[in-house]
Amino acid sequence: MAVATHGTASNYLQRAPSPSGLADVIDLILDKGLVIDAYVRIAVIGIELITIDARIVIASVDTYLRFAEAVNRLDLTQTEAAGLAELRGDDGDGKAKGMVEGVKDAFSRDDEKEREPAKKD
Amino acid sequence: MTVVYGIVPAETPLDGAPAGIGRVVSGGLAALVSPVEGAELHATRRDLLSHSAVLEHAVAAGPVLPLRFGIVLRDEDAVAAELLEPRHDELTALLEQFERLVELRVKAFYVEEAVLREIVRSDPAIARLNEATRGASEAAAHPHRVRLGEAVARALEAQRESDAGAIFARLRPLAEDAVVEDGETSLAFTASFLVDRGRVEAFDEAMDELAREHEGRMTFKYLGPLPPHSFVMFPGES
Repeated sequence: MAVATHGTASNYLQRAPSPSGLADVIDLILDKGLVIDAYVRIAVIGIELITIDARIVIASVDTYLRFAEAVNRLDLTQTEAAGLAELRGDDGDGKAKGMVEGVKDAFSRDDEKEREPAKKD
Repeated sequence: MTVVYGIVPAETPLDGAPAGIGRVVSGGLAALVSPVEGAELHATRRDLLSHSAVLEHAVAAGPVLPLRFGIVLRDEDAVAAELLEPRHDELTALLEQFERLVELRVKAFYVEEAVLREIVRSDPAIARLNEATRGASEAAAHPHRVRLGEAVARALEAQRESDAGAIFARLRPLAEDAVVEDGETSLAFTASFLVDRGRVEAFDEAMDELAREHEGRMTFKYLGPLPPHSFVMFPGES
């Protein structure tokens, strides 16, 4: 599943023909797509709950403090060019990634024990 | 029991499909299916990835109606009798509707440090609070830090709305339909676009331009062509 940088654009465009990780896949197939009457629908409750929790956490004092610390740490004398060079090594999966996405990834890798078996009738 | 992944026209070739995938054919339609092993149904990481892989393979060959993950029918006969036959007309109409349409999914993430720097530079009140709290002791500065963080979060949200609006305005004309999803902090923009296969290249170019324009302050994740996950539904459902 190649994740290629498209064309001559920068590393800031990560192009892939298909989802390359569990978080992307969950994003597409858990609550999207045709629904039909089924004999049974397999439950993946653990993953869904974790996604919701991650969203709730966002507007909290902890988040505000995290922003405040991040702003306090900024070197405002730094030139934009230097900032870019430093960031260019980032492939988009590191600190450039959204906070929530990161949380989702981290949990998704370890949540298989928490999933519930589907009802059988 | 039989897992159903998606519906394709019966003439779609199955060559190179992931191992274990079979077809149930009825009335010009084919359901992509596989047997469920064992008596208990557990959704594993591998199940989720393989659902996606089956659909991904199908969309490369032609139109496909993706089913939501985890739909299981009693057996292959039930796939014909309870899905393909009773829903024949609706499924055929949907396959026609989506014949040339694919989903392109775009996510934009802020490079947090860069966008925070923009915010501090453009908002004098935030800049003052920042100066006041830098290097101050933990206890003394705590209330100010909360205020600073709240102001930054609010500024970031305003910035996000403005950036998201601009990205959407740029991409929407290239698509037949679009769904924008609620953003979260740091995630600047999430949307799926329903695009004619013939316009994917133009969309690629627009993404390229957007990435250049926002270089250093945003990264883009661009997925597709995907099956129309975000757009396909039976008439009258939502």
